[in-house]
Amino acid sequence: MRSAQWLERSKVPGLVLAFLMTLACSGPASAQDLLVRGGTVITITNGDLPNTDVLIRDGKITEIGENLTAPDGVRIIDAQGRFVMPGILDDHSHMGVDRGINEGSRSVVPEVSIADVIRHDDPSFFTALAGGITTIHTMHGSANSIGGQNEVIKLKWGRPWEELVIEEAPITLKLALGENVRRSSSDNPTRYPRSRAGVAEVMRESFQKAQNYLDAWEEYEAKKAAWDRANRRTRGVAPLPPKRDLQLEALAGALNGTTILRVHGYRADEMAMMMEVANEFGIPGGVFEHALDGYKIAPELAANGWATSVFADSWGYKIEAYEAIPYKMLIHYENGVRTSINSDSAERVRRLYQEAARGVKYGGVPENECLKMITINAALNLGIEDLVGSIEVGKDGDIAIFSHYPLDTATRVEMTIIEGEVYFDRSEADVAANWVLDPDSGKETP
Amino acid sequence: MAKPTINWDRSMFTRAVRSFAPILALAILLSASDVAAQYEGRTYAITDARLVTLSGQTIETGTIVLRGGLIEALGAEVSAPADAVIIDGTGLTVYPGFIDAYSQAGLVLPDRDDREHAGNIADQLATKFFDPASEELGDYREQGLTSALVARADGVFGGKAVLMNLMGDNIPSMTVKAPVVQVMGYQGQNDYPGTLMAVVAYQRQTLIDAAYHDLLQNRYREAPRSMVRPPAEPNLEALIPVAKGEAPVLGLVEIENDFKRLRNLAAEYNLDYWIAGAAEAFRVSGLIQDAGVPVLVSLDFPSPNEVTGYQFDRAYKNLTEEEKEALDDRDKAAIQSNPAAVYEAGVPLALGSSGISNMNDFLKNLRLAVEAGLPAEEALKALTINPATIFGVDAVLGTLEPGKIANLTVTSGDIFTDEEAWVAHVFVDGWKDTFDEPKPPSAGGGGVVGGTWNITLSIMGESADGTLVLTQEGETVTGELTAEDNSIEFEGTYSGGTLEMEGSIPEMGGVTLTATVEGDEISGTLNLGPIGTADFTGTRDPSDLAGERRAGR
Repeated sequence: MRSAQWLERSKVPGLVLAFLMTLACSGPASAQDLLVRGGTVITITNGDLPNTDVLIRDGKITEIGENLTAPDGVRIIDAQGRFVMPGILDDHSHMGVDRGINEGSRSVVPEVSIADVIRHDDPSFFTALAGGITTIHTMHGSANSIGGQNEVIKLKWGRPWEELVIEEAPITLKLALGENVRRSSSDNPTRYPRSRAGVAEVMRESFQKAQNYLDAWEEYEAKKAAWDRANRRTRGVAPLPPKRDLQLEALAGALNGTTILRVHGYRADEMAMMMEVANEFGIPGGVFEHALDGYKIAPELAANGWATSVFADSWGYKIEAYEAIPYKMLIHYENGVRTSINSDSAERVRRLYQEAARGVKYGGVPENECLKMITINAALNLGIEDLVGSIEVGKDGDIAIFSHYPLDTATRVEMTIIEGEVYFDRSEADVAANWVLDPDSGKETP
Repeated sequence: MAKPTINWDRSMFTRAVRSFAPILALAILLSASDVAAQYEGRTYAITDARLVTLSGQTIETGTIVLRGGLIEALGAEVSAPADAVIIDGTGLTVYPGFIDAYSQAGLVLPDRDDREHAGNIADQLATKFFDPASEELGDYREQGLTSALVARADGVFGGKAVLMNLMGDNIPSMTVKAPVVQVMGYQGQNDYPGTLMAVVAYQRQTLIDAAYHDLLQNRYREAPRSMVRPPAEPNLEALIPVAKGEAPVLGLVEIENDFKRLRNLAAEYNLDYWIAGAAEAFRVSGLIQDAGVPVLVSLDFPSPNEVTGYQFDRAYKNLTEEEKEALDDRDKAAIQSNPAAVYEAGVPLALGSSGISNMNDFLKNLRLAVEAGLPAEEALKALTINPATIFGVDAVLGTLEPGKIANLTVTSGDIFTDEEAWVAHVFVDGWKDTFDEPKPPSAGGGGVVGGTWNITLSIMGESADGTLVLTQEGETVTGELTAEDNSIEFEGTYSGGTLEMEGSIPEMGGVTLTATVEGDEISGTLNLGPIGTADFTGTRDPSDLAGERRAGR
């Protein structure tokens, strides 16, 4: 569908047959080659470069510079007068998940994984692309002390499931603190834990079980090695291995540092508790989701190696959100707490750059630092900073082209590119024409 | 592996019948019809019929003899035995009895909240909730179906599917093979696993548990002393052959990504699998080809808005009405070509009914599948020898050959292409069920469907009362459905006893309503797109004028 001539409206001919033929050849061009010419390139990590070209070959950025030549057949996109920035990352989302994001039946379910239930044809992907989003971290909900594993995908709208997944992304595990976990507004009031102390106990118990599980395997491997070496006549039966337990394996990933903890947390005392539990088990610092009271403990977050992923300025929508302030981006920044800005919403995701601009409004966070909060910081939070989050040679060719500076109130996204392929082109899309967006639910219907 | 509980020893009964032959002859003279009824199902000869044997050449005009529940003889030169009830087969075609390869025929499950947790009930036969006296079995037979692979679709490891004959007195005598295959689905349960993602995690852990159970049991058999006795776990034990890849598991899939979930799990745990349901097989034909496994395709066609990719093709495209219609037509054609797509992928294809709420749709959809590219002879195989082979019962079912079970489907007209063709008889274990020629479609005159109907809707185990008010002009019908203070407006057509209407719900999209009307009764399905489907039944409102007019005719 997206033959995507830049700023040139190629309306599908009215003839139905012709229309179906274009459908048959639908999907972005197969080549992942592209030259984005003449824009102001906001690299994020290396300053803003006026009149600069970005060349993408086979989906990767291969050259950044002035007056680059496009190899034969490589499509050229004229970005003069426009702003070329890395595709935006939303590192806390629940889009594109099939049949439920909260396995609420139990409080500890780290064995479940969003990776098994991606819904690649979620139409909200398109509106997110219209907001320059190229990568989302789509997550288990916050109904569980220890929820499930999350998944990092690119919004290759129209492509099959497996093509969306960033295979290199480390596993991330959702945990949660506070009102959602205690089910304070739930009709299932019997599920343990019901108190904040109970949540702490569940965390400790779960990680201890995982530690015991790792110990049991270690003991088994030692016994098995000894048995393998022993005299075949006298050694008896082989030692029995422990049973594989997918729940404990998922938790063990956190203990050995390969899995990143993503902890839904609002209150400072609860986040302090979580950091203490993590320290007890030698778990490296993860990311606090929302972290509404993070500003109160910013030095402690930094000292313990925890990052945050926040709403720009939401507060007061429930008891534990009463003390949030919009200056948290500034306070985190000044205290060296890495912070990203997330949407947590299929609606807000369309305008994450406006959310980032609030960092400038509330306290004057430097502009490029605000942009980091929707690009490289989110990538660092996910452990995929070598792939995405800035415009650098060797990274994925994920680009959002803006009409104005991305933090300008008048700006809008003109084109969104993933790995050298155009997935959104405002000149072709007719967003409002036949679909209606419900601003409350963020859902669209034809 | 339990032995099939086929009752092979019918010869004693047959001998008994023969020894009474003189008395029989006398009785026939006295009261032919009574005796025929008394011995119905035991000895029949269908004469002068076209016999599609599938084991050799089709016999254009021949006789087939059934005795004692088995096929005794067939051929052009075979003549009817003296003791046989003779059926004039002139103009009729005899096929091997159709097998519904994936079915919930006869299953009467308790309401969802009263049901046991079906996470792992692998030790349970699907027949636990099979009702041999269920009247709905007659609806299956009327579609030519003589046996069915009955499987529960509401579990994760949802028990053992069983091949049942669809007419008989009790479960043991109707059972052709039990079990046939373990079933694995993606249905969330009331407790853990509730979500799809937890179902997948549960599948993984259960397979690990079954393999470990096997290890423990073997250990305990070898060296029981000094080892804690493994607990008895019949449901895990039943899954051991699946977990070890020694027996197939029947994966119940619908959408594109379900196929991938199944394939990925099978790769991860080295499973042997079959696929059932498979509504979106046409979207993953490469996957199916690579898998090379049997696919039991349901003839329950989803509506286009339920199909993966529907929204991608329509969202934000600014389509004209003409273009939208062209897309809908394209999608309907793709949906109907689903069985053909599986056939073209070169894997064993069988056809089933799972999910069809109105069994009259079975043959109707079969014809649509043939029209959409499934060769008629392949459709026939997919209802007979293919499932018989997949299920390991080809020695006794699937073709017309002497000695096989007397399951026959006898049609008038070409059931695969002609919508006026019908199933005249079926024979199940030699028992006959006969159907009337369907009444010709009513002239579509006013008052047949128009009027007020009091209906009961059931969706996801809940039911609600409502009304359906229809206005009819010829074949054109408009109407409004009201239930629980909500109402939906519809437009559509009524012809041949079938009502088909479309409507929409604001902010949710298209909904369809299909129903059949017989006299003052209506039954049908409301398709609510992503929300699911609701079945409904109802009767004409007594105060309805149209109803009074009808009654007075």
